[in-house]
Amino acid sequence: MKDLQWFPPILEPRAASVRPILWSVVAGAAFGCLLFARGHRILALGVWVVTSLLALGLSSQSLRRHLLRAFDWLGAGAGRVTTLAVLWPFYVLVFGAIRLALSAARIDLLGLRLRREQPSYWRPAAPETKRAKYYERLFTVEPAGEQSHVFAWAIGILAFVLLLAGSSELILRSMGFGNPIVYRVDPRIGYYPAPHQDVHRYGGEIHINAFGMRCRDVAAEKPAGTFRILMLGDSTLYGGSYIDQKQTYAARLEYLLNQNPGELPNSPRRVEVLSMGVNGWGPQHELAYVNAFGLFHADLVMVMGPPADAYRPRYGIEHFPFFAEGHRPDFAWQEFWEHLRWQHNQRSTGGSAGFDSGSREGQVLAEGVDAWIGIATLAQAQGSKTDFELLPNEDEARKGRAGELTQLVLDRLLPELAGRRVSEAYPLPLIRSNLGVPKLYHDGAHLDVSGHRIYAQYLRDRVLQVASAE
Amino acid sequence: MNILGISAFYHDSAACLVRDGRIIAAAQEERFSRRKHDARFPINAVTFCLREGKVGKDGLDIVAYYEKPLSKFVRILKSHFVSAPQNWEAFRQAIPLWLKERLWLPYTIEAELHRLGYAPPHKFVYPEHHQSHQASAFFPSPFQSAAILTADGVGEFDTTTIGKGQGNGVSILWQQTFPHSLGLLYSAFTYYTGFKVNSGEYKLMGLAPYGRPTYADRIYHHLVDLRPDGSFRLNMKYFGFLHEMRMTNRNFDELFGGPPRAPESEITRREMDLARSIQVVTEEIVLRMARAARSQTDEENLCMAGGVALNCVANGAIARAKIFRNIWIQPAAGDAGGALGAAMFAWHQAENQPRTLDAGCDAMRGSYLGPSFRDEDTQDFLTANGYPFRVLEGEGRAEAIATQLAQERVVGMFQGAMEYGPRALGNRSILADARSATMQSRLNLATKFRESFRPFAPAILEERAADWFELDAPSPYMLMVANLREDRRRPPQNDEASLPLDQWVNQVRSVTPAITHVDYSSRIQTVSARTNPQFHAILSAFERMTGCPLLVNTSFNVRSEPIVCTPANAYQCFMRTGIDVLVLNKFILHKGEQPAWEESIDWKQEFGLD
Repeated sequence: MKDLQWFPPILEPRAASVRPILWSVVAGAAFGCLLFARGHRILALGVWVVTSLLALGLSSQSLRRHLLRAFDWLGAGAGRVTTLAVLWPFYVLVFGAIRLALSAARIDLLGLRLRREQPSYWRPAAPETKRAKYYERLFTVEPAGEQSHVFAWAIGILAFVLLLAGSSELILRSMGFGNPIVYRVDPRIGYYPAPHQDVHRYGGEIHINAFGMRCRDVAAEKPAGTFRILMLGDSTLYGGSYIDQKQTYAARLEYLLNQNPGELPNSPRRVEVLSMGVNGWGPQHELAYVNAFGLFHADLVMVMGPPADAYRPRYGIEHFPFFAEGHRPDFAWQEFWEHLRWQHNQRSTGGSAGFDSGSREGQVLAEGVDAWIGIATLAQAQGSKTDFELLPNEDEARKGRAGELTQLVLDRLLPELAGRRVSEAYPLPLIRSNLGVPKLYHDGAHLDVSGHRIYAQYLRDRVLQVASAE
Repeated sequence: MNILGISAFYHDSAACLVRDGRIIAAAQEERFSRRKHDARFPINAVTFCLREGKVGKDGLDIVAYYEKPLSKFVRILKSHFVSAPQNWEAFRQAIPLWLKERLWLPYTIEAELHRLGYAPPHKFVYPEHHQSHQASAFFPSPFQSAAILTADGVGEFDTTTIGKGQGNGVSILWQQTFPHSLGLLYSAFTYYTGFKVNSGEYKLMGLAPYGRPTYADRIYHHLVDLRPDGSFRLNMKYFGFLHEMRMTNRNFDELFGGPPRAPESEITRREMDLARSIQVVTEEIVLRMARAARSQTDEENLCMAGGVALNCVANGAIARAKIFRNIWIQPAAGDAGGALGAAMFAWHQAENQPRTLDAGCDAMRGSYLGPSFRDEDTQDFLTANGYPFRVLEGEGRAEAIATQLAQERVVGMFQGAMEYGPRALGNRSILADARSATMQSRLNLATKFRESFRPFAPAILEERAADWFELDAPSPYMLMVANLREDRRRPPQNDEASLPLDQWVNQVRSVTPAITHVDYSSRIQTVSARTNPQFHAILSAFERMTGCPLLVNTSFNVRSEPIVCTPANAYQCFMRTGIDVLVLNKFILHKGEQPAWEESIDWKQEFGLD
């Protein structure tokens, strides 16, 4: 049947727009540039290839149809995911909490209760003069309720706030906040991890023994037939919350050496590695610790960490987002808030005073190096071998040379160590040759899982070398 | 001043153009898009209204939208505050739509107008949902002042209001709020008896006379706490629409002895009795509300609108109760009428413009506000397709059509401007001889393809209505049910109630069996020469030939299809069904002369069941 155009053509819904695809092209190109600038060249290339294909697809009529369909499908899929991941939890938690709160407060929001004693259910309407103010608005006066709506809204808002706090608490706890290691404040040392702690963080387990070390329980007296290594250092030795205790290089080293302990001098039956690395420590903390606790009869004392640690004075816990013993946070958001505050302070003050102060010279550096020398002297006096393992950071590894601050430390420290015939190493070639390994560094300064593994292998050879040397 | 009224996004989108207080054009979107109860933005209806009114690109002064979206959104949120987390499915479907589209309504309207080439209006006006209903009921009415009763499913918060109209203003005095809704109560029973919500309510109304009110007491005792003044509360323990995606729940099922009837399955005595029971309860509630409206306003006139006002049986009960001297009901009483109400509200109430009454006549112009088609264009259509036709002109037209009807031929009538509202009033109608004993079944089964129990309605000369029906006032919009006069009835030949439904409905109960329901009631349209002279002429000619001044008047469509809009729609419906003769303005077509009708699709599947 031929029909005439009785009306202007019946308009169908607007055709799908190519705008989302155009925006994707622009965003993809920009994202590729960002990846390139961050050094992820292959990934950047991949992103550019995809965005170029999208742009080419737009220029072809038939391809455009397929693209639009694909984007529709993606959009619908993204909508479903968003609905499930965002809308559903929001609905269940927020609206469910409000319903509970209303029920608990016995607020009949919609007037559902039958009131058989009431002669009429008619409600007086707002006067027209009041309604007239809303003629051009998208809303109007609400009907007068049986109870004050202000109270109902207050309950609802309170429930919402509580729920928000509760859900954020859960989310933060799932991210690892809320159960941190707490620290013992010590006037001699500054601070160190409080003894006897077992916590599970987002990276895995952390066990602090009786001496504040992140390693398994050990006796103060070295057992017979044991080769004991005492490691002293900072967060690079400690490993951070992102790594399980067994994966730290100290734990790995103990495992590797125990595969064949007979390789060590005097063929001990077993090897113990005592890992006394503490977040934020510098040489002065390390020296104070060994002055307080001794060297645990270690056969080998290893000082670990970046050379720039020498710039750290012996400051206290207040410089960090740490919690003191007995003041464990009750909520995850307390810890999260402390971290945020600390990061803000870092940015606004350029770092806390005395922390990586950037001072090229000065008393702090001298004291730091002196403290390290002090450890070496103490170890030698007690008949322990000493070794300094100075860890390069990722930037130094890429450039193939020590940074300016690091060089200043090395210039001051290495001659002192040489004069005392203390072994040292700054394994820049090792790190540099492994730069392509995924998960080498966690953040440019701290090693990640692969880095700990590779470093442990290296340290095993170093221990055998140092332990066997005269 | 040009004011465009729009209703959209819930069901029955529509548009209406009002110029300086006069209704220029109005139409429902479904007629153009051919999607029943089309809820999308009424782009086609808007296009029609603006072209019909010859509104220039910068000529739109006000756009009036029929409700307040933000308030409605707040009500939806509040519903979820008391029903979460059970009602997730409703939340999941509704909230993204609101966030993406409905909360940005002014931008949506501007964007659609821009698409049509129109500049944004100078102003937007948003009457409340029930204010739009009030305005649609009062401003076109012939009354200087009146009580106004509006009742529907729900607007923003209100479900029922009692108000007053005076001069050029309306005001809401008393209100009932969600979820206590007469419309939703009726829809719950619509759902439970196996009909589709928001479209099957009038089927439930038509089923009621077959039943007995055996469940009425149960409804009063368990479901509805009704007060003497017509106010009530629903016992939400039995209803599912607050917590689930269904109208009733298991408690309801237990109360009435089983699960809901499956759609299209056999209708049993239970459904008939339920239909009758809820109809009795609805009438009682509406009567009490009407009395309350009378006592609160002390007005002699009553105006009604809202979906519940389409319950013609209840309207008839109000009329018989003589609570008010005069009653006027908006023909597009549902949400489609909200577009007209919003536009009228903007003019009279927001712009404070006076009303001009026309000596006892309403302003709806017979509700013939939709598109009409020129003879030249219609002839072009017929010629282009090679459809044989004859020309009927002058006084002979009515005689020729009446002759066909008198020979028991079913006539598809397409003339003049399309009706606005759910009823066909002679311009988009299927007409037939009501005297025929087989006409009801023939029309139901072979022409409309719908349930056989459903009665047909008569159109009768206005001046002869009182001779046939117990009706003492005009009913131009088919919104009143009245009984056939006793002298026109025939007693039942056997115990009808014991017969199966399809046999019961075919019993001859009067001289006009096709329009006489089992309780002798009819939903009447009185036709006046003033509002529809062509239709009046046909009825007059038929009376001259047969002595009967009434005809079956049913809408020109098949089940689930919107009423036809264009000559092409009419021809298609004509060829798909058992209609014998098609009248397109001055052209008449006979089925036997038409070329064979072939379609590549199964058209019965084209329209979903309603």
